Amino acid sequence: MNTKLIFAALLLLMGLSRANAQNHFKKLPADINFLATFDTKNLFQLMDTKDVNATLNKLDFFKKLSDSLSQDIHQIEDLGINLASKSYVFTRLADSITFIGALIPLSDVKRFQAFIPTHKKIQVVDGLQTIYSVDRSIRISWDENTAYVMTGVLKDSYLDREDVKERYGLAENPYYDYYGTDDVMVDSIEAVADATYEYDYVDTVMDSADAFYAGIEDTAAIAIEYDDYDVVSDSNLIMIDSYDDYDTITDNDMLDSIGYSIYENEEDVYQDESNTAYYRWLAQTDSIKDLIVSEWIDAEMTNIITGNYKSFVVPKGFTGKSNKNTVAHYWIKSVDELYQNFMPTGIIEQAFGIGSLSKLKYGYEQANLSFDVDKNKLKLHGALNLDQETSKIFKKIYDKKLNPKMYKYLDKDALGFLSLSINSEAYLKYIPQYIQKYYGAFVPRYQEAFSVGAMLFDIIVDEKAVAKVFKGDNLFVLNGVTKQEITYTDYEYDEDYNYKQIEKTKMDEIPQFLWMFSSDDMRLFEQLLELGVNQEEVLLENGIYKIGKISRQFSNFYVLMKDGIVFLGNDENQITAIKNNTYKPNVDGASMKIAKKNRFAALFHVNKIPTLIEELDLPVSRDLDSLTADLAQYGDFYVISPGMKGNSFQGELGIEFPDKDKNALYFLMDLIERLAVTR
Amino acid sequence: MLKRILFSSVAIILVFSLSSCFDIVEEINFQSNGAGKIKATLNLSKSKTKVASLMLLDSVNGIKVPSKTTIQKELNDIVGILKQTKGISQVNSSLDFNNYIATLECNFSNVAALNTFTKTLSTKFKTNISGYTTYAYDASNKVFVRKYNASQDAKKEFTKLKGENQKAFNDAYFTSIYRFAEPVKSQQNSKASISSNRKAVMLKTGMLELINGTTNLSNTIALN
Repeated sequence: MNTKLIFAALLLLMGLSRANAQNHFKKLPADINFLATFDTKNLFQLMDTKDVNATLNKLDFFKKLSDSLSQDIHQIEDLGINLASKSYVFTRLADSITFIGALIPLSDVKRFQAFIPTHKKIQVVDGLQTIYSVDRSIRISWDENTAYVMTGVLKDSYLDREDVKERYGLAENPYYDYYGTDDVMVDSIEAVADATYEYDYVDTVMDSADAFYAGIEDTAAIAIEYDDYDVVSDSNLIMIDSYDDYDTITDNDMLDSIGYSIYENEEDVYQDESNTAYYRWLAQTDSIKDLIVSEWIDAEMTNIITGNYKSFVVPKGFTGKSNKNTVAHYWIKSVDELYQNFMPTGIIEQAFGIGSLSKLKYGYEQANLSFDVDKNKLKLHGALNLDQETSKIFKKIYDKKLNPKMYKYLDKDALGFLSLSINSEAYLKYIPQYIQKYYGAFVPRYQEAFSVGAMLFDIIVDEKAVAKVFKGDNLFVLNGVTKQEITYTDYEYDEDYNYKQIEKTKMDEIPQFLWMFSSDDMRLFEQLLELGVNQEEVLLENGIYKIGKISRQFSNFYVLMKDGIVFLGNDENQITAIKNNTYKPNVDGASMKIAKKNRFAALFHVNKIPTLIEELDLPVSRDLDSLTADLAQYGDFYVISPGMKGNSFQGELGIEFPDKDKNALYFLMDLIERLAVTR
Repeated sequence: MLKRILFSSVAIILVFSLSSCFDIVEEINFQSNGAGKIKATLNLSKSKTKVASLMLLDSVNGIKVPSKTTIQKELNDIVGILKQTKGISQVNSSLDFNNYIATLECNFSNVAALNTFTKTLSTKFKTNISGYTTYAYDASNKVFVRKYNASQDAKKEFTKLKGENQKAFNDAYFTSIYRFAEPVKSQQNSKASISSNRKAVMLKTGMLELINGTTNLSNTIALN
């Protein structure tokens, strides 16, 4: 009975905690287009708060924070933030504004509130304690469990619309036409007061009418302040210029005296009328914009707090749901949409006289990116969903694997490798279509030209023939340094001290590489190399082409064509061994596994760097000696992509830190501490 | 003297200094009237793989690595100054970026021209070159004098280099060869020697000793 009771109580507790987390999640509007989730619960399960506090104390973080806030803060818990929950940052796009919001879970509202600077006026808006930034473009409200943050960025394209300018009384930039702007500006504040009602939030704004009118008063005050500011700042420049030594202006009294003298010299201030007009315009435009933003963010915040919005529903493919290793997750609703939002579409459209850029579509849809801590490894992995058509193209392009015959060259002693496998036939076939489809759409005038271009490309380029020459799989292996004989110039003196230049040789450490790619038709390479032989630039010895003049500094290059693979490297012994079938593979299993599984892979064995530095006798600053030595304990740094999985393109970036701490985060904390000491 | 020219481009030499080994050869052929020909060679070919790698970088240990264009421009500037110097003629230079060898040669009408030249260059590179080396030739007594003071500037710059970069100078050498039309009667530098035919004096020293001042290039050479 007792067991059942305990079990039931546990279930209830779990349910409660989930309900708590869900509540935050539910507050997110349904149509957000970007969401960053910071999982502090996971973070502090990976790192003990005691240890984090110790590190932050060593870095004087709390001391600096305490000083700046005039509060005593000794530990991260003092911030009042719930460390066993998740925080969210999100954006929501509208035609006119991009809202940026954050939901931060609180554990102790009193502690949180203690950080509000005493001069900040706390008011109650929508039933919640609230503060605003001076220009009211940022609002922070909080209840017992959550701090809500909201700000917004108005879109220039929206403000440039004639109807919008008229509605809010926004004047033209006086640099274009600075006469008569004052007339337009006189009524601007009133105009914006009327116009803000016209935003989508009519109902909400009506509800917050009181706050709105308070806002107008504030804004009027701001506008006046801006006027003063402009006169003063503008004049300061003039006055400071007139001082022989402006370095002497150090205290406020001095500045005050300058300000005072400005009013006495008002004629000077207005010498540059266009400048003054511009700064007046800027101040007034900014105050109108601030008023618009403050109204809209208020309305947005109200909708979120009161639950007026439909809640965000996790879409299919969203990967941000609980994984105990994930400390942060980023989600983008549509990468194409994001592109369009941040692209200065108006400017491009006007400059190139092209159609609507909103038609520009790459076929990139939802994207997910997770930042994971996996023992001593830090991983950033993500997926980009593609629309059906693009997905089909990508699947064809990335359907090719690396030629298995190449695996044996992934040597255990190699420093790293880079592999890329694409289907060159599919690539050549689809890329013109892809360009025609996605770029042709936004330049309708040239749609036909794109079509013709694509067709021409198709006719001229025989994809099948090209794909035979260059199949599309590549492997580049950076082998370790090996000793190689190089020639250098020295001087020989006879007994009468006449000297002559002589060639000497010495053994030098040179990093060796081997690049290989598959080819079913090597005639092109053979003919090119033969041409080099005829020109005496290339030497053909025992079936190996030796290219000597391209880069004498390093060494010669050797080309070998064998078993459907073109080999290019600078290690004569290796190429000769491959040619004579005497090459003894010493394959690195882990590298082979990665190369096999991925369409793209770049991997570097970080632990080999210190030896490399030593062998190449590279100069390393003494300060960095211990950090360089540390690299010997690192694992691999890699970027990989297995290509397409379903309709999404996958990728991962990771680094393995030394396996001496509890996990990668502990190692990073230690590294930060040591770096701070070094400095 | 031309060693100083090459030294003047501090940034370039610092980078070269990272290249572990290099040779500077200064060769002066004097005629009996005091005119002659000077040739200076900077040879980095022994460490060409390292120089080539360093040239790929933007900076090493906070020292900016000059590009090929910058090096070429510096040399062109020097050639330009030389051509405008009174008493200097037949100025030639070469840069071999495959083997990293740079040469600079010119004729001079008298040793005063060499001294004027060092002064001009010290102005250009804002370093006190002429303070280190001056040449004199007394035609009537047939005595050639080189006065040399170890450069405090060079020593100061050198001590600024980090230990690992200083180490790089271990395998760097400076060689000076003076040739004369008449046989050499005597020379006074203990580290220099007279050739078998007695018409040349050579001094080969490590760069480190030169910078530290343990080797002095001063010499008084009396001719028959």
